[in-house]
Amino acid sequence: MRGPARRLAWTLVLAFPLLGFVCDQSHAPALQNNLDQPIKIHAAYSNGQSFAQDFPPGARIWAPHEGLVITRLQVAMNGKVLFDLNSQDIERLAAGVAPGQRIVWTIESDGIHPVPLKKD
Amino acid sequence: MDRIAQGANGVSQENQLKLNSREFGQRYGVAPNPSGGVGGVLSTVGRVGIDVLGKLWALPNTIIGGLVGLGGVPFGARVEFGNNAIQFLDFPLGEAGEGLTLGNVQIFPRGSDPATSFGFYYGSPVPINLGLHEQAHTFQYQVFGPTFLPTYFLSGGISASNPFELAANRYALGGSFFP
Repeated sequence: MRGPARRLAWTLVLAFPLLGFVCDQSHAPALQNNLDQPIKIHAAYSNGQSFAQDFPPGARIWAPHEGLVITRLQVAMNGKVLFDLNSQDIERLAAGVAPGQRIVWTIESDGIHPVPLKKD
Repeated sequence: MDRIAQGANGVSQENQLKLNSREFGQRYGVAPNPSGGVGGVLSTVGRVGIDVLGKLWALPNTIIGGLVGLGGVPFGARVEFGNNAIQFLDFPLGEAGEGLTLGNVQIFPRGSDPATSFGFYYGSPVPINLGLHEQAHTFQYQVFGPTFLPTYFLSGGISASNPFELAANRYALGGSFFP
């Protein structure tokens, strides 16, 4: 490899670890709209943070911080509430999830399910 | 539902944000110039010219981003265009939900879809669309060019106090991208 090309290659190799730090990062647990229509999600987290917002089909919403627990989750479509879970409901649904497992709460037509997060 | 409708800052977020990528396209996409006529044409030409100059100014970072992105193609990364950038999707490194912008190149690991990923980036009180957040960075690169990365790190680096990140959040909610 010639001089300038070698310098460029090394610059990229050395710069790559830096790139890992400039990523915009995401945190679990996530919520995912697996319905084929937009929905409104009202969610509250264990740190007191909450939101109420519309999301398109396929939307995946990451948590504000790693390791938070969802304490309230309400899903509505066209103004009609589809699901309304409190902390006990969510805890019961998450009972089968291994401690420390990063999960995505998938919103389906038949309910809300915790799914282990894996690299797609 | 009162508790649900209140954000961490105590401000009601009901109806605060109804933005998705489709609505964004309608809001910010190419639309007929309401003024029309010669003035409208000149205005459009001026905007396009400024945009082209910005992309040339950002080109050094775009080239680096392109080389990084192309490095992922043999490992499954695919190329699309969107959010004012060449997008490398399904990049083999990084975590789902993350994104990286270098010039007019955006890199998204597997599990990160710029149109459908939302996160509370940099302390945002509401979920922000990842694609729009990264799109703001492309415009910031077009303004700051090769000085973007040094300026970014001198402005606080990866932190919720960095004005570049706060501006990217603001842009994703319909405001200005300028820090």
